[in-house]
Amino acid sequence: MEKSNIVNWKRKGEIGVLSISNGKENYLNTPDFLNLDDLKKWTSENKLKGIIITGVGRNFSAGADMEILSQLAKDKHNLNKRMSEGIAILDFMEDLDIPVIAAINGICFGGGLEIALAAHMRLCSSKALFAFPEINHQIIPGLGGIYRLTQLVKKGTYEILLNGDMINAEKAKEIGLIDYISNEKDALHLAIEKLENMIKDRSTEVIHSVMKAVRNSKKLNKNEALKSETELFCKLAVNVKPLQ
Amino acid sequence: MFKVLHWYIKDRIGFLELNNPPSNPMDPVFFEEFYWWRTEIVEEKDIEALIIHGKGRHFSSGAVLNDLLGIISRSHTQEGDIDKISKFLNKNSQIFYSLKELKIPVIAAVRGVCLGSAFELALCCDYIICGEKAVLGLPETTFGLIPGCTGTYILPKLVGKSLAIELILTGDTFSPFQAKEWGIIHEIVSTKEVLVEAKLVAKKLVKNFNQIFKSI
Repeated sequence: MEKSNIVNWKRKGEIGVLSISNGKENYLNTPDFLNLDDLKKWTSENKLKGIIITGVGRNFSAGADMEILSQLAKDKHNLNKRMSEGIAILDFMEDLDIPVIAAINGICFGGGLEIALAAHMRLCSSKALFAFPEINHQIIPGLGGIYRLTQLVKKGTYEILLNGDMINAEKAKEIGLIDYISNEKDALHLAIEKLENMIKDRSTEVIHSVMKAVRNSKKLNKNEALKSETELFCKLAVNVKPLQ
Repeated sequence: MFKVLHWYIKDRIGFLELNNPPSNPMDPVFFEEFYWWRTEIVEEKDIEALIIHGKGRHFSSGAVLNDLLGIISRSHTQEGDIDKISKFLNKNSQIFYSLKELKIPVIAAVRGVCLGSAFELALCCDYIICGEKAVLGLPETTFGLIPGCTGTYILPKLVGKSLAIELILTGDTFSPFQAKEWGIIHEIVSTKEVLVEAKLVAKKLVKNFNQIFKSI
């Protein structure tokens, strides 16, 4: 196991597990909750085909520690720098060419929810709770969470952002914030099962191509996306042997 | 006129039947004929809706893998890269997607198997009706490939990134009931009623289309 700021990294075969570890609530002490260079190093490890991000213990993360944040805010330049770093971490995670699944138990608030939104798939336990409580402190989510939320969820985003409403697992599933609810207490098992189903028997080339193509569907216009899809297809096809 | 397509018009509805039973595979001849049909024929006709279906028990099993691999491998050997063949095959995606540009409703009437490129063709239609025993999916990754005919572009727009990644990476097939829950298809009827229902839907959509255009 390796550690970077408050995040642990552990390999389970072809899967890498990032776990947020900071006391009972896994508060994000700073917006740059891990070091981007460490994340880059870990994710370039050999034969890595997927990542799970979760929280150690009963909660995913309660988000920023308001006391630390207000201390940080006294130095605007420093806060800005750390926020940019936090944004870069989540952008990097979202643009990875391997699937990233958030396994969410318990509380997933603020910055914690922003991390979960940057994953490609979200699973939670039936007792999980979601919220953007920033509004109660006269601030807004600052790590790309508003953009990602409105991309993912079509109804009720103003209520989530302006009222700071708390949402349970069932409601989160209903509005599309969550993909699956685990029957077990710990969503990690379902996350491993889902991820293994997606990556076992798949080469890293195929996984990378699928992730690239799906990302292109959101980032490129139709003609460019279709052109890139065909190119990715042909590159793979060159190395596929005909069936007998 | 066609070898693997059957094109006919009835009650001002155009029917494009994939006609190479039992599984109506999409071989190079299919793509050639489909291109010809789409660019030269369909818009010339006075029709108010379009129904695409397969002859017999199945819609289509999709592209013929070995034909495709052969074409790509030969081009790669000759040219030293995939640029030329990629440009050539990209026409297939563009022509599938161009169904969306037709100014009439396009309905996929799906019985039996509808996999890979065939499922991608259905995704390019405005409305998908399935028989209850239809089998849907994008199994390309199980062959070491990815969907190459619009699937990776349309599916995420339809169901979101997470489910699209899961369906494409696992390559699992799924039922029309599952597909309807996900919002991929619109309607399920008994297998023998698929075409009858497709015609009713076509007429209904035409009526709605006309009302919309009249009100503008």
